[in-house]
This record gives sequence, C-alpha cells and structure tokens, in this order.
Amino acid sequence: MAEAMSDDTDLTRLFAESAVLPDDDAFVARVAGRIAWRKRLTLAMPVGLAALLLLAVWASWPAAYAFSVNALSGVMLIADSLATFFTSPTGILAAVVLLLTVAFWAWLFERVRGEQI
Amino acid sequence: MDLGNATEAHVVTLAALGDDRAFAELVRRRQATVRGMLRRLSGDPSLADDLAQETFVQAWRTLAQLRNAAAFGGWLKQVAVRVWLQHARRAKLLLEPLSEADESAAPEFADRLDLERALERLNPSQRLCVVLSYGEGLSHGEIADSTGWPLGTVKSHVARGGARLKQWLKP
Repeated sequence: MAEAMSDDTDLTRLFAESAVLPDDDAFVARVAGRIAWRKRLTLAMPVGLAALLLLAVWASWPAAYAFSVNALSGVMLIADSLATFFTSPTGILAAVVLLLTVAFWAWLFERVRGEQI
Repeated sequence: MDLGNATEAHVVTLAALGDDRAFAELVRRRQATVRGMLRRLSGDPSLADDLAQETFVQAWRTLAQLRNAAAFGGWLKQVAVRVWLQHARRAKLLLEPLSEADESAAPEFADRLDLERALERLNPSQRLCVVLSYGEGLSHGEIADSTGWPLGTVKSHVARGGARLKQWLKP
C-alpha cells in the first residue's frame, strides 16, 4: 500500500475505486418536485402581487382614488406641456438637433466598432 | 422518442428547450456523479443530497445559458462547486481551517475504505481542490475557474492536500 500510494496516479485510482452511488429514483422525483414547485411559484407570484395591489386599493379606496386622479393629472400635465413645446418652432428645432445628434452618435459608434473588428 | 437511448447532447438540447422529461433524464444520468462528489466534499450524505438537489434546480434555471450541449458534464460540476461554495460560505467553513497541529496529526485508518474519513480531516479548501483534481479529474486551471481562486492557491491546496492524504492512507 505504501508503494501504491507513492504517486498521484494511485490517489486517482483510489478515488475511482471508492464506492459509486447507485441510481436513486426517489432523488429524481424530489428534484422534479422542487422544479414543479419553482414553476408554480413563478406563475403564482405575479397573480399574488396583483391581488395584493387590488386589495390595497380596495382597502384604501378614497385615498387611492384621490392619488390616482392626482397622479394621472400630473402625467397628463407633463404630456400636454411636452406636446405644446414640440409643436412650437423652438421645440421643432430642438427635436431636429436631438435627432441629428443621435444619428451622428450612432454613425460614429458603428464606425469605431467596425475599426475595432 | 426514447430518451434513455439518446445521446446526452441531444437530451441537453431538449431540456434547454423546456422539455421536463429530458431534464429528468439528465438528473437520472448525472445524479450519482453529483451526489458522490458532494458527499466527498461535505462528508454528510443527507446534506450532500440536499445540495445535489439545489445543484440540479440551479442547472434547470440556467441551462439555456449553456452554449455547448456536449460540455454539460463539466458545466454541471461547476454548478455543483458553486452550490458547495455558497453553502460553505454560509456555514463559514472556508474561514475555519484546522490548525497545523490538527492537520499534521496522522489519524488511524483501517484501510483504503477510509478515504472518506481521510477527506473529512482535510480543511474544506484543500478537500475541495483534492476532490476536484483527483476525484473528478479537473485540471488546476479548471479548478481555479470553478472556484474563482488564484491558480497558485489551487496548486498549493492540491499538493498539500494530496500529500496529507497519501501520508494518512499509508498502512
């Protein structure tokens, strides 16, 4: 045994000779069960979150209503302001400059990437 | 289609496309290897089976990222190593190596069947490197990739751990 343990090959052989575990169908079933649970959780989570949100809205209805109206009013106000700006001569000029800048940046980026390749 | 006779690369491709039967076939084929490796690392059959289950669940979640279906075996070992390292960090195993006195003391082993007991006496970092090198046939570079440790550290762990095992397993 002392000679047998004299080099790495023998240590490798010792590992190879140690008991190989038999196949275990119960293990396969447990893994399948855990994966099925994960799938159910992935599907159930968005539904659960939506249900919780609805419950929170229902439980705080007057306040939730006021918040929604205010938030939507805010969004509408911003959208209206943006629309007014981009239909004015200054807004149109700003949009053209912005588009040209983006187009130039994209062209430059592609050129630099092409040189790298 | 009979999955039992299909090549592993074919089964892996099917499993990556979401075929649950194909993934179950992969678990059936690879369970002994993964459970055996984790038993050597943990020394605890029950914990090893839990970690092996976690390995297969993580493999199922990330299988679509595997580019080369033929490399599934090596990739699965890397997943198992990652799961083991996560467990070891949670349990602070790698932070608590044996003292030099404990490591150098030669325990009494009856015969070669005591490989598992000898492995338990190595510190967890050395045990991981020795099992991956001698048991799983990974190169030092592959072990460094799997563990994220520097190559020099891996070489040192394999050399010192291997030397201790040989010394301990002498009659």
